[in-house]
Amino acid sequence: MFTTGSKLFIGATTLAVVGALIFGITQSDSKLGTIGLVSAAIALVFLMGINFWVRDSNVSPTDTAALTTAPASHEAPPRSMWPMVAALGVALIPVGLVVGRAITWMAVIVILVATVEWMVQSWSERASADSAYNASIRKRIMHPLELPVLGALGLGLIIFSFSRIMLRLPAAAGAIAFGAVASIVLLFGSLLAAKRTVGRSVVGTLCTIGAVGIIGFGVTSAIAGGREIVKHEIPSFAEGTCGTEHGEADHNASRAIALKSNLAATIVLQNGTLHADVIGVIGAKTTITLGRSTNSYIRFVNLDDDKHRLVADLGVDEVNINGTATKVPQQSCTQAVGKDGAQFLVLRPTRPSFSSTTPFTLSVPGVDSTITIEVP
Amino acid sequence: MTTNQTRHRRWALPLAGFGALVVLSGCAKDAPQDTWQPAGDNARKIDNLQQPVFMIAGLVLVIVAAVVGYCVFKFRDKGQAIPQQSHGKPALEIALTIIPALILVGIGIPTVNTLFKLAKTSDTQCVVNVTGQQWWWEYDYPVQDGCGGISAPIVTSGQLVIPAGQKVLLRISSRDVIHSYWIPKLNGKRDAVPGRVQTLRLQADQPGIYAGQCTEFCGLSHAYMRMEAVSLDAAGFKSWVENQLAPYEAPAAGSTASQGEALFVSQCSRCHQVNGILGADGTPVISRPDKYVYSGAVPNLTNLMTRTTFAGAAYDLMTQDCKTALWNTPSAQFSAKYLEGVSPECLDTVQLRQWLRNAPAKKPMYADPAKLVETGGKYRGMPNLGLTEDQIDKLISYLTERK
Amino acid sequence: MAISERPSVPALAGNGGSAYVTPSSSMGVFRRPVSTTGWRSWVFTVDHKKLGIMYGVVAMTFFVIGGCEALLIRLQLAAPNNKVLSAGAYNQMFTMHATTMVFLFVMPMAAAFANYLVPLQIGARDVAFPRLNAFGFWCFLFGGIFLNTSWFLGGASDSGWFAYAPNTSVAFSPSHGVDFWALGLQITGIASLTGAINLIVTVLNMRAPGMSLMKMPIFTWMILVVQFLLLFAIPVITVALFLLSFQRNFGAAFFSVEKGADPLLWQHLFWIFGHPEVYILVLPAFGIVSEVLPVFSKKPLFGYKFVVFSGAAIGFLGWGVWAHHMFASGLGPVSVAVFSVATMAIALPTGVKIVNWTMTLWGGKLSFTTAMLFATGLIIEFTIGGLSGVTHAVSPSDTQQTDTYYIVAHFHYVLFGGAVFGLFAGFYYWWPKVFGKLLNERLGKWNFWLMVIGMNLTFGPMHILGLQGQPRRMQVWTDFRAGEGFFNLAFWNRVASVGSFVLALGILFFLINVLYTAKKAEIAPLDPWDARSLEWMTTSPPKEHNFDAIPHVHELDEFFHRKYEEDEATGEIRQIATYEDIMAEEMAHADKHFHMPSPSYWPIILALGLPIVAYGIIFQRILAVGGAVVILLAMFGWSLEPSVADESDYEPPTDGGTTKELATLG
Repeated sequence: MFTTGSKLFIGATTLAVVGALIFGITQSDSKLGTIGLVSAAIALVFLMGINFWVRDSNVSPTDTAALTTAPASHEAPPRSMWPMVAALGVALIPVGLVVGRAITWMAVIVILVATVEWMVQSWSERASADSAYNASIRKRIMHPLELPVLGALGLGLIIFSFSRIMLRLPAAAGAIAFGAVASIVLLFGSLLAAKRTVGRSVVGTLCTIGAVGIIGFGVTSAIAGGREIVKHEIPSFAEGTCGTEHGEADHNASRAIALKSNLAATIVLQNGTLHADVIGVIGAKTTITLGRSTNSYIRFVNLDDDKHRLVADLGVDEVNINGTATKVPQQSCTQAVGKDGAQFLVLRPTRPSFSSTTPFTLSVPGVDSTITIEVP
Repeated sequence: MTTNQTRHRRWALPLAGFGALVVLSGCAKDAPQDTWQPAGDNARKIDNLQQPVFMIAGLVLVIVAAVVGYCVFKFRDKGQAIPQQSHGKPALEIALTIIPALILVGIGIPTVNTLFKLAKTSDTQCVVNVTGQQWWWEYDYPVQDGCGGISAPIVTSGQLVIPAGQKVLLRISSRDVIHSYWIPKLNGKRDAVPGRVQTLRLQADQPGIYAGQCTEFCGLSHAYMRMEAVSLDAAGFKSWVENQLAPYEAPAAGSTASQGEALFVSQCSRCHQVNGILGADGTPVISRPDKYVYSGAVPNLTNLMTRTTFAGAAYDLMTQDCKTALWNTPSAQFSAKYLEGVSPECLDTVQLRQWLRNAPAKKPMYADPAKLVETGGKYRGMPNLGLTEDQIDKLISYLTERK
Repeated sequence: MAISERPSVPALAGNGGSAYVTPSSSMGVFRRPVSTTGWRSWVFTVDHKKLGIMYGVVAMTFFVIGGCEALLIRLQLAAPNNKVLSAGAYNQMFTMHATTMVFLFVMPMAAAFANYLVPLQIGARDVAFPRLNAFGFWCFLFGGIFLNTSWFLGGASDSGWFAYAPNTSVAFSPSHGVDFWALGLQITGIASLTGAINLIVTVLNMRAPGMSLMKMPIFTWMILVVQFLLLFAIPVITVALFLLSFQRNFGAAFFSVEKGADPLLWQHLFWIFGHPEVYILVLPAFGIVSEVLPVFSKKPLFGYKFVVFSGAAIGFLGWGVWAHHMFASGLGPVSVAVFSVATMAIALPTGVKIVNWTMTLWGGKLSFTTAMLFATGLIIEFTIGGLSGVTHAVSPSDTQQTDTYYIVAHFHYVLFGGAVFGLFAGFYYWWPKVFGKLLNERLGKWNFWLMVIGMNLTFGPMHILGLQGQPRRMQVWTDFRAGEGFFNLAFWNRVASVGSFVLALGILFFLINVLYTAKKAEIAPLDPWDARSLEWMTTSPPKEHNFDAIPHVHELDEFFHRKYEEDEATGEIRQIATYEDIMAEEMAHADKHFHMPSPSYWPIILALGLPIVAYGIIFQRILAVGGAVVILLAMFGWSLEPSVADESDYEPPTDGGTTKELATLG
């Protein structure tokens, strides 16, 4: 009734279920292990079902002759890499225990893969009396699994390497470097296309060199670490951070925006005074008008020598904090920038300016000059 | 079916389509969104460019149709011998590729030229911020020396008011989805993209009123998102600005309008702002549409009766007769006529009452509180407030005075 | 499962052959499908001809559905402030009309022609990957059905076929319509992508001996270009739809402006797909017309090489013009100028085609069958659409026209006057090939003239409507803004609405013609049109293996050159053989064995898993897991099943004839 293959999986399922029970009872605070083992049990039942369904591909039960006539039973077995891979996995376990958990996990995966591959290979060698057929049946069963996994791993490795190299190189150099790489690939590709007689080994060698190069550089870059990247985070300004001195605001730039977005205004600090430039608006250099309930992007340019920041003051608004209406000053600011530096500020006023007893303003701490914000 | 008929049928419609359009374009009157009747410099630049292009296109069509028609007539099977199996004449092919290429170069150069002229912003004389949202446009006039001088911001909706003859720059944005601003007689369209401010030049030669329509599909009520641009002469525009900035006049105590004011404060002012209106405690009433409406804004009603439309210009405050009279007023008298606003005789209370009674029935909107899960309970459009007829009377009497 | 089939090698010494047991059921549980008749022969078929016919039937059904949607739209717009459709229903209607016509009619109908004809035109016995071909068809069918079930499950997509962000966000489109739309197009996209790979491999590798690329029929050439366009365009829309689905279903923020996104990202992605898509729709029709015109002019296609290269040029340039859909989006004058000029440039290869068609007519011996009428009609109607396209390339002019009815007029002249006329020319021309019977010519003339009149009445006035300022996608128009005089919107809207019903009547005549032909018509001769290409060098309809003997090709228009010869002295063309002679000669060299791929359950089962996953994503995630299991099982089944079915899968031949040998194709 049950075939050999399905018996194997029944056994494995039982083990997984028992494991899950034991783990679930003893380690009640960690659910992850139980979930993993139950999932494994489900997967094994699935595999058992397939095996049962295909009757182990009808090998042993109906064809007793194959057991005695299969090459495996009286010829030297063909080469196999899986004993070595399994041994490697076993050897890696102590290394992992010393060095780190990641290697242990890798070792476990290697052992599992090697075991499955080994089992399928030895099973397939007894499938029939024809070695070529036996090899093909192994391929037909394992390739649907092997090829996607290998493909994903290969792609993942290359993408990872690419990303590490890109993150290592300076921003400008990255574009140049990969422009060059792309050109080389295109060049070689064109040459190969033009000269069809190029041998497989040459193409293979070139691809290998390329892959090794990318992965090698990738690993090196990963070890060396990425370049410093300026982080843009949503600010959480505590009161008093928008002063003259260095403070929290200098570590948390205001919400970054794309430069391509057209600006509501450019605020320029020059010779100790502020003035506003708005596309098309004539005059009114000390007043800007911003829309309600819409994001307005303001660019601050410092043309003076000292470091300065732009502070926006949109009055005091009631904000619901933990169920109680609390009056909170609506203040935000840019990082302090030196001469010729520029910073962005995003404002989204939700009340008209006439609702406030104090005017809405843009100012620079330490500079006696303000820009009035009007909100209709 | 004979081939002669073939030929006629096939020629008749294209010829009607292109030839007649060119010849008869002057015949159309009162087509408020006609793209071939520019009423301002920018639209005229486009028109000057497109007319020859249409001519050339029409001519090419006539030539192709003539050649095909000739073939159909001349070479149809009348028992002649099987023709020579010629595979083409490269010289002819190349010639027939170069000729259209030259025509296209001829079209391309003025195209690029016009394109850059229309993108210019440095000669602006007046700036208006235009913000689209579902499903109306808000116009606000920043403080500036342009537009004849604006000392405090003005906010309005329904009708864009601009000074005639001036180079006006619209700074267009959106609060929710993408809309597109288009007054065909004044310029082509420009999308209102949230997160971006995009510019569009407008210039009206004469005082008058110009129709437009949102042209980027923006959801349920897209078809109802209309606009009107009104251009006034310099003096008229100045007095329009003064009126918009005039202080609030509360209705006489005890009047129906005064009861309407109280009702407005309790029912409408959560979202709708009337500048200068005071609450029962004597403090200014500040609306907070950002708390109730997904887009974060609703029309400001301070000077409702100075404009002639409501509900995103989908409906008129004026009766059809008054409206037609206004639209047909000659440009010399137009400014004065427009500045009269909506007089009580002209007020179309039917539409306004229906709107106040049940707004979502009048214009498709997402205003059913049960269906606002995805927007965190915020409306998209005006809900049905469940007002009684008496309350509607009072509100209308109050709103009639907002001018 | 077929892993159990056993090699029939002789037994090793000491064991008799009888020791091998032939499995009674090589599937383990199921038998492999073997039916050659009945519904099973269609559902599990991998024959490119059966799949082609099924593509055609399903696409035609969707054409009727999309047409009804169009009629409802025109009814709504027939009068001011009309109330046939509510705003919500109207928005769904125009969204689904466009989606249906583009993705469920024109594309699969072109696939129907390509599937049926490309192997025949290149002298092949099937496509390169027959099971993949079947899988593609079922993906298209299930994707299309899935998309249309949204009508009954809370409403169809109401965001337009262009689905501009952020209007597609959940807050702005709360029904599941957009989810159905995004996932449905993903599924039909699989059909296009697998079809593209399949046909490219087929055309490049499986041409008959002697058929170099420049001796390939022009229709096959255009299909090849289209498949390359699909191969590169579909991944772009796939990415865009994934972003959209993640935005709506899994909280991503690719298009959320308040989180810093730029909604123009969607427009760029959509139109980088969307513009090549236009050529995907229209090039197959160009190919059909380029086959039909020479046959009925008794002349080779004028400038074959120019037509081929202009098709390829369109294929390349088509990638550099997408932003002309975005001239009003605010790209800035420099970008607009570049795309404006590029768009003008693409008019050139298109113009080359019109010139070559016209020159093909010139000096010919023209017989105006219905197929020829449609082809000639296409030249004129497409020219109108092409020229109104040039007015859009002039970007300042386009800012007045874009998103108005002028654009609607333009692309309907291109897609109806171009693509659909081409497809109808193809129906009339190849009907006797596919079904062995000629469509009725009298009904055909009615069909043609009603369609020409109907389409010009419907779409011609839209030029006027657009230039008079009527925007697209408007549920209502008002009397006040309709204007007066000759160009008033009210009159022309009414004309367009009347025209749409004339057009529908024309298409009804086609359907009547199909029924009439099926019932009444006699069997057609094998070469009714005195045709020129290989597909006519076999029986009609062709046998499962297409050709008894694979023809050897020496010339472009091989079939014609076998029938006719040019007298070298006088230059006269004279007949040297009848088609009966040629076919008899081919029969004499008939192959003994035909290597045909076997039917399979797995393509349809695999395709069935996809909509289950999609329903799961929308309604109940656990259902998606179930769908994924179906897909996984089907993938295994497919991988484990050999393309060569075992002998034992077939019933023993009852008549004692030869058994089939089976191909090694996947």
